[in-house]
Amino acid sequence: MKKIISILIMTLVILALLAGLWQWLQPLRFLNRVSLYNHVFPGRERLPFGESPRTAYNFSIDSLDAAFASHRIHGANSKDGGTLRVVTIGDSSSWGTLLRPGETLCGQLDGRTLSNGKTIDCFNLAYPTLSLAKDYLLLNRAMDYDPDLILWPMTLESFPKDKQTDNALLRGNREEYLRLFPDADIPAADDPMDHSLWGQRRQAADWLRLQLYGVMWAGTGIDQDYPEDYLAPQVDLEPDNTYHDVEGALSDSDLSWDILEAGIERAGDVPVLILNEPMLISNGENSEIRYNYYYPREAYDSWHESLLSRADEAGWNLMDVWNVLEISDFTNSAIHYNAEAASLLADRVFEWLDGRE
Amino acid sequence: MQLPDIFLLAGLLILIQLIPWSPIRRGAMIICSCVFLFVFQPVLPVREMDFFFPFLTLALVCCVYASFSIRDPLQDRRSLTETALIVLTVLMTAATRFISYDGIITASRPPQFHKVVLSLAAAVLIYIFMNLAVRKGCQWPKRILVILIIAALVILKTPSLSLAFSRIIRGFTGQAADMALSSDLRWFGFSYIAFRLLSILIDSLKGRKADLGIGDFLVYVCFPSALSAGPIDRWDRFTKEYTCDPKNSLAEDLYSGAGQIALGLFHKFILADGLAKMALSAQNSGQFIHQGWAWAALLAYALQIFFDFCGYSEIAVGLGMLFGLHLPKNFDHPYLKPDLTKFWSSWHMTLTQWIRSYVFNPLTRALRGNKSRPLPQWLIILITQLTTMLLIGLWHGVSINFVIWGLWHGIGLFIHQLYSRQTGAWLRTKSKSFVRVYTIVSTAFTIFYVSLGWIWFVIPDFSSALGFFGRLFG
Repeated sequence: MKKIISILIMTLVILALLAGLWQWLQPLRFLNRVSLYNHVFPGRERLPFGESPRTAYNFSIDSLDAAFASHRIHGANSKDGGTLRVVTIGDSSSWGTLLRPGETLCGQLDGRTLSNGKTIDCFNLAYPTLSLAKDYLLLNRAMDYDPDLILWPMTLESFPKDKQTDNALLRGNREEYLRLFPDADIPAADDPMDHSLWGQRRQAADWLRLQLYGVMWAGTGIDQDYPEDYLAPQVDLEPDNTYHDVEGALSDSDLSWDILEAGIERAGDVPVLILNEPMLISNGENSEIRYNYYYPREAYDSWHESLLSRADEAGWNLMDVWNVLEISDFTNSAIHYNAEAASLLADRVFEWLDGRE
Repeated sequence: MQLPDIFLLAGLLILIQLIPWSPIRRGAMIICSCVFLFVFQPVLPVREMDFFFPFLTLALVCCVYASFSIRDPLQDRRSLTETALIVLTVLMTAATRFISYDGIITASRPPQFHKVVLSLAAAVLIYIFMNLAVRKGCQWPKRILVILIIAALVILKTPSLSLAFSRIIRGFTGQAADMALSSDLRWFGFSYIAFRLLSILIDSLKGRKADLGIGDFLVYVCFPSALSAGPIDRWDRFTKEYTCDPKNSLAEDLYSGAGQIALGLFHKFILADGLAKMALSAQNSGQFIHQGWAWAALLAYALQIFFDFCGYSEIAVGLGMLFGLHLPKNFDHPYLKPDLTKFWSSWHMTLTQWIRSYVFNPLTRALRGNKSRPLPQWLIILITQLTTMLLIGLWHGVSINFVIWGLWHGIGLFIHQLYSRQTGAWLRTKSKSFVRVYTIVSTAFTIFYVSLGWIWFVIPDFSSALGFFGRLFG
């Protein structure tokens, strides 16, 4: 029995030492920057995201360090004069819900050669959450990789103030975002256990899981769940003219123009091409009131006008392609388009780039 | 068995072991074995079956006991007391329906009480009737039990039969038959319980009898830690150890048991569960676009299934030690064995020993016994190896992929036996270093052959399995 008690004491001492060391060293800060991707496995084409890891070999991870370390951009060679490094940020339509990595807007731009002989090297840094704050956070990270152009697809649903900070990625990287945008209202995590071994066990396990799924990513090239069947977006809509609980249009003070401006300012000399994302324009019931599930016409038109005039005033590069796609081009949502539509958009962006270069 | 189950069971076994008075300790162990049958049984889509499957296990155990024991369970006072304890445990478990709308011990709310009482009454009547018949020297109750157990195994392991049975039971429970699935009938631990019961019935048909109480017998068949992944212990070895005073001190057993459990937890919940994320599966077998990573996934599966199975077995053995029992180990570094015969002597050892005792040896004796028209030796080896491995394959499930997996190993064992007869003497003339290199190469080849065999095991569809072979070599 003495032996058992001494082993129990020894175990407790080792655990206490481990917990203390963890608290002091905070090893996740270093660990999250270490990755088997780009070394043992090819880097991921998109940032990790997913809700069904078993079939997608991918899952949502809060740590931006770990997410970027697993991305192809982290292992990209330094730029040479022969390439134009384009970084795409944005939401799920740019990330490419239901699309293979090569079928996304970025995937279809990648590898094209401009008339000046430069080859486009496009990196998809979009993340499937509608929030300009999240886009700004990613844009800030993207700047570390020396891009030549930032392609920023967006839609009205990313603008409302109440949408900005209510997402896991922003909450998980609160301090980093507050450095960019000190006035942001992100609830503080005040759990003293947050930096302990126990409090960070999930993050540590996520890091390990991300590395393990590298085998399946490398072997299959699959990074999301592709269901055989899904529901098409609604075309018969409710006779509802409210948007985010407001009848009619949202006022400018309800929209995060400040984040968009801050993002463009953060890009500095790197040109930003804003892409007003295509959306489904319904022809069904109540389509005279609403464009689609997301937007009443009044709210969208008001925001659209504001975007055009602000772009004009500030001299932003804006590609206004909100209405270029047919209903049949959309897959499971009013903003998720198929590979053919992504190709059409890639052609438009390519033309713009070619003209500019 | 999930982590909370393991820790709960470990705590309970230690507490029971600490009970100083042996009859109380035995009684507690009987209750624990009964209750954990209900605790481990997962919830099923077919109403009330998550109660009646464990109930049927207990009924079967009692009937088999009646056919095997020297003691007359209706005369022996201890057996009567222990039978009453089993009945009381079932009633108490069923009575939890009055405390909660969800299951407390069972996965869902137990059936209405009158149904349980009626089922118990029927089971007790059958038990008494079988006991009386056996005491009069009749063999038919044993034969009926053998047939029933094999039939249940075949139904549970054959998807089409399982589906048909699910439809029938759904008819009785008032559920839609067209919603039935072949996975509806998951009888927890029955694969292992059936083999334990079959070995006893076969021994009994050969005339063997045992002098043990029904409680000891129940604990042997339903020892909680050995329900999910074995081992399949021999009844005589188990009951001898269980009924005698412990060999080691409590501290020694606690120490070695905890170590064994820790090792098992590491193998199962760290290594196997980690490898599962990258291992070959039926779902991902058609998705590989790179040959090298397909090989990596296959090897990951080979390791995953080993660590998963071995981990559970180690946990079972460790939990047994906490109670002073030394269950046989099931794995002995199988991937480090230089040939397929040694691999099968160290992989799921208790199952292969069972098959050897009750199938391979009797079949070999029967084939050799025909003196008038003796079969050639190679043919005897072929028939016995194929039959044995086919049975092991079918034990995992009655489907074409398990048949092929069994045949794959049966043919492998046959070829190895013929080959080793030719090379055994030759190898003895070689130098030590040559033998060492030869052993390394043959170990690698064994891993290669076994790993390729797992393709049949993991991919149920024949053409998908062939497609994966094509991807590996194409």
